[in-house]
Amino acid sequence: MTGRLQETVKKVTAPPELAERIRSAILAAGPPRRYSWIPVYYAAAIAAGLMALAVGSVGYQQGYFRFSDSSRQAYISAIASRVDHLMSLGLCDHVQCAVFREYPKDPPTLEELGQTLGPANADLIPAVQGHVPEGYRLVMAHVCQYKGRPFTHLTFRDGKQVLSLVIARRGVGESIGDQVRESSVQRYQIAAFETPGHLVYVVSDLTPEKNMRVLADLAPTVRAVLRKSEG
Amino acid sequence: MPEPGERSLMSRFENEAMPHMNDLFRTATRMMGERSRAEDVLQETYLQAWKSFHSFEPGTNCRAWLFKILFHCVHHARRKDMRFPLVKEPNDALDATLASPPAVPEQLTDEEILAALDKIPADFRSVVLLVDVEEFAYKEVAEILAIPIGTVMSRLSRGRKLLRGYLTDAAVSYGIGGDAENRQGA
Repeated sequence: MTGRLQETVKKVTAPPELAERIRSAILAAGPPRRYSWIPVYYAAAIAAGLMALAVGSVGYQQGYFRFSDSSRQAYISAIASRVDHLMSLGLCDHVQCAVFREYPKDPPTLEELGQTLGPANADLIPAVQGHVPEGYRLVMAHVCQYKGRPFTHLTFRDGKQVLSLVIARRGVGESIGDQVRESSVQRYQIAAFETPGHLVYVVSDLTPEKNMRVLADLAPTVRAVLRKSEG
Repeated sequence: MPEPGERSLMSRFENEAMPHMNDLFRTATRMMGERSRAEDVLQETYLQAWKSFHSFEPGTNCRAWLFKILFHCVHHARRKDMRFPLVKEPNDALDATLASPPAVPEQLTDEEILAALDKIPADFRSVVLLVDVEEFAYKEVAEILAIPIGTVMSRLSRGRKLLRGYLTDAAVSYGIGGDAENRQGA
């Protein structure tokens, strides 16, 4: 059977013009590419990987993907070094306490926040409500520490946007002057003023104008509240 | 105008690959069922071979290398069309239905033999073509089709039995072969 089958199948021959058609197609295709064996999807995967690496690297520089304490502290130190020392106080506390934080889905009630803030500062909560941009909600109010220094810290959120009101007692020789000051580093906007006994910061990722407007709106009520404790 | 390096590569390709065109074409024709489709597959085969010709090692078996590319293109074309369902695994039921194969009657025409061959499921037909027609060794067929050598042997056995069965049926319809002999004997 094999012989007959072979003989029969081998009678079929290619049409004479096919060889020329193939030669023309080869000429049109041009010279072989050295790495033509790399499938397109591998190249696409490599490109996507490089893109992800670039995005991740930029994000890391911007403070994202910082999961360990040491990497977070390194980031805070890096951005703090780019602004004036007094302005960095509010910035550092904001980033450490408000940015690197997992927030619960349901924030505490105003009463609960008043309790965590303590009786000395409890008046701040009703005073500042209504002076932050629309959509922002008070999600945290407490006294925290950064490098051993205590800060009164109120945090407002609108989705992923975070805004902090940070208040620190003035140390000896610490003064930012009579004028409101502002700085920015990366996505953070810092605006600050001082009272006789305190340094007051608004730190956010709003635009410089909006951040300054928040500070201007908050300043009278915050001054009034602080005046009570400053005597 | 091709560069000198490209001309040399084309010359090698011409000498080593193009002489196998008839072998590839007849296999493509049997696998695709139509000459026009076989021509398209063959052109694609040579184009793919040309694109990766730099990776072909001179002195190795160019014919087997081309057949490997051919079956890749055949498989791709069939999947694209979904017109030729694949028989993936040998069907044991086939063996049971096939009696011990008689010899192929001499009276059968070429067309009847080719028709019988074309009726075999593609996976079996490819092995029969490569072993019985193109005379590749089992090991080469295993590499060309990227299947284990044991699968080559079982597909060949089943493919041959099926072919004999179809050829016998054709012979019987002309009054020759199995039943005719039985009638004569009676």
